[in-house]
Amino acid sequence: MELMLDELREAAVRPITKPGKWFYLLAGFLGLLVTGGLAAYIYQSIHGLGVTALNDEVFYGIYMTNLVAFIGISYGGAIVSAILRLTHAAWRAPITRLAEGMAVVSLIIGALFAIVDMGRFPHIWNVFVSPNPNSPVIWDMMAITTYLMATLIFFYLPLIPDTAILLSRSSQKFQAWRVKLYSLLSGGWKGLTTQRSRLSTAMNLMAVLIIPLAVSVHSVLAWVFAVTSREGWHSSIFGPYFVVGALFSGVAAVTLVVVAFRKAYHLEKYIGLKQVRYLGYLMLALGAIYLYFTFSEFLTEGYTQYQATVPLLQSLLAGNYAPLFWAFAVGAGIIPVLLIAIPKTRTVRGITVASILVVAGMWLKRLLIIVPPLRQGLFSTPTPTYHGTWVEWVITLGALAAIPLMMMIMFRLFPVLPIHEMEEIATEESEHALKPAGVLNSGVE
Amino acid sequence: MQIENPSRRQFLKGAGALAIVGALSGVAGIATLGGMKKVAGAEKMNMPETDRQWVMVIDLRRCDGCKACTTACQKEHYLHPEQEWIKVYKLEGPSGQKYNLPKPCMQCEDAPCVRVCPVKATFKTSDGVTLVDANKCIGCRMCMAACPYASRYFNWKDSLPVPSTLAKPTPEFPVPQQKGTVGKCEFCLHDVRAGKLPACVRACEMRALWFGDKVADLAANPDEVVKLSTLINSNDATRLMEELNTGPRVYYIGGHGQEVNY
Amino acid sequence: MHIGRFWLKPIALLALIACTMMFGTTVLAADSIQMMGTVLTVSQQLKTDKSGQHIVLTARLTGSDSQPMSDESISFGEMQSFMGNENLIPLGSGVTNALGTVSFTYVPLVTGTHTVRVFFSGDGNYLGSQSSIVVNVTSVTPPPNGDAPLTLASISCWVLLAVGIVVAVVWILLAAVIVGVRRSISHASR
Repeated sequence: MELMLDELREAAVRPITKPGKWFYLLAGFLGLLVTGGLAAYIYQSIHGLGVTALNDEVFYGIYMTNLVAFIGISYGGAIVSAILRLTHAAWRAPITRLAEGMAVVSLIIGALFAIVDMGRFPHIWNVFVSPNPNSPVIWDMMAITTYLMATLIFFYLPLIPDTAILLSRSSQKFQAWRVKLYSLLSGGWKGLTTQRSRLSTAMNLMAVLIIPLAVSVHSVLAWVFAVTSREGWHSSIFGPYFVVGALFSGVAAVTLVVVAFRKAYHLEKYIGLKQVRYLGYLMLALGAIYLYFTFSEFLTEGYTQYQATVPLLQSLLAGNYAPLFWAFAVGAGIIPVLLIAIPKTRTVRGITVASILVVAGMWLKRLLIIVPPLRQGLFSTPTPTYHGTWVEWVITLGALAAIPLMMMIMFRLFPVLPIHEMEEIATEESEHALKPAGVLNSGVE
Repeated sequence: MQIENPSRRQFLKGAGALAIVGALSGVAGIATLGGMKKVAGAEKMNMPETDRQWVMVIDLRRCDGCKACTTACQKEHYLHPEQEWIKVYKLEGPSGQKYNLPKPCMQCEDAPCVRVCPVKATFKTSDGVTLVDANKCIGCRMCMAACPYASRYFNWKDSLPVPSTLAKPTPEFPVPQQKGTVGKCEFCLHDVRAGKLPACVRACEMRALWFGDKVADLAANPDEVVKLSTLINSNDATRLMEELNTGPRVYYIGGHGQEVNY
Repeated sequence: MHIGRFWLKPIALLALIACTMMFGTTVLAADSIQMMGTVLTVSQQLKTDKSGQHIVLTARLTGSDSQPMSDESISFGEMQSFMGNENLIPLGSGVTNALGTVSFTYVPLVTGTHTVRVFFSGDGNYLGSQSSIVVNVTSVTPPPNGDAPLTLASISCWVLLAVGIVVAVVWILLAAVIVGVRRSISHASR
């Protein structure tokens, strides 16, 4: 057991101790993309939002899509760390740190798009001077900041014992600043029973608290659209629709992150096929619910054949936006289902492909929720097409690169495996005579 | 390994940080409750409010779609050609009849745009006009999403150059428009409160546009003054999208090119 | 007297003209004698009740012989100006009674001085006449806003307050968790 724990601790800090030279190459490349994104944003700040392809008819586009999509991806953390914790799903143990880390990073990047999309960001202090409690934008700001604080706390709590464990390893010598950081974060953790029980209570409380917070964030994002009177937006299903969509894309993103770090740092011993498969099953279930909601939305809209709805549905199903819509339906709907359902393709590679398709397809779906109803316009006037300009795409690319970059930096600071949680769950499991120390060797399947 | 006893220090630090956040939320909350009744931005206007209730009546029988109203409004406010604060739509009715629909801002009594603005940058005056305080507007465009009449327009770029003799922009006379904020028809409130008709009403040669006051029950175009209630009732004037319950202040007399004698 | 046949036609023509003129002037004289002038006088009475001021105008129509004229239609109007134009806006009308008077209640819409003009347009026998009166109005009833939309404002205020309280409670909870955990861990480690 001691040997296994030592091995676990070594593996958890492998990104810190042995990053490999490809790390610096990749970080450099991602850093370049992020810098490009920042430069494009500065260019936009100087010249105004006119440098985008947005106009008075299609006034929300790629930035709002990114806002919804990136915050949506952060829900992977909520589901893996919080929901699976409350259901005592032991298989989640090795991946909670990766999931929570991704949640923190994608939430921050996603929330930044609200700023990118704002025409006059320097006026934002008016939110404190004369806030309007009736405004969904205000609800948004309150929900996102609260959820971000909760996610940060939830990420930090298991770091208390983990940083203490790092310090206690006599075989590993860290730089002075690391020692200072870890001792600050661990705050006197000695692994005592009272400390363990306190931490466990706090984690359970946070797991319970973070679920309504998560639900509120994406519901409020949905209501920004749903409380308007525009056809295609004014739908009662939007709140639950966006939440399920976020969970769906979030699980897919967690899968990608897990597979990437597993491969890069050779963590196959701890993160096994079991983790990837179970994530795949979760993705399948959530995808099914999302497709059901989509179907319900279209059926309800289309059956009555209202004058305002018919052209919108036609453009989505058979018109201008049909290629994108069917790319989503097949790519993020049918193909992942098949890949996970068929045992032959239920491999790490197969599930990875499914996850990539889901993340990309769900991004497309958010674009299809936002832009086609705007293209339709009011008073049946034609509206210009919207393809996005280089500014929008470069900023999007920069944000996309920022997520893995920030995660790579994050796991050069903190252990990539949640040592304390894994040990805890291992102890729990060994008390059940049926599966001794199962979680530490889940990779052996 | 020695860890100093940081419990009190850490507690103070943590409590301090969260107290700051709590204080900010508290300030926001108090400002919210306090600001719920107040008409935000009113103190920024430079003209005294009046006890009128401004409305517009548009006679579609007379409109020939010439867009002189659009051009006059753009000239008055130094707008770009693609910014049409009063838009003239060429529409077709259910029996194939073609008609023109000039559409300014409806100045809704219960305006959806006012309801959704996060910083109360858009607000109603006591004489019924919906104004925008560009100094507050953060450019989030939620008001554009909420407006069911598509009557709000974003400043994607800088305004056209204005003469230096023009005073600083105010909500009643928002010239020049500020890049990154929202603009819209404001019933030329700066003119109207001084007893002058709005630019579009003055420019309409077909005299299809009327400007009125519900309190005095009068409506005027550049040629004549009539009783507003008579103009509306005897011509069966209606409002757009009545079922949305926004309370619009623009009345339309339906028709398409008929000869009209009041 | 012997008149030449040449002069017969002109004399007949002249006689015809003379007769017509005599007849015509007789008729005209009879008309102008019968068209009497009229005099219209107006008085006002200011009444204030809980709904604001209204003015009762009493118009009296008499012939130039000071005899009251009944059953005649009197119309009331006001010269109103708006946005650089002015027009006589009709306010209403009434019919005189046996005493030659008619009352009209004028509910003013705006404060200030109002000049109400009263008209009798005349009929076959009488000439028309008019009068005017200046009324100073200091308080008006605001018109009922029949087109005002229904709102749920009274409910939404409470909902927003409840949501605000929930958010504040959540933040306090988050603070309690982080501070509590740190404290209890460092406390236990002593």
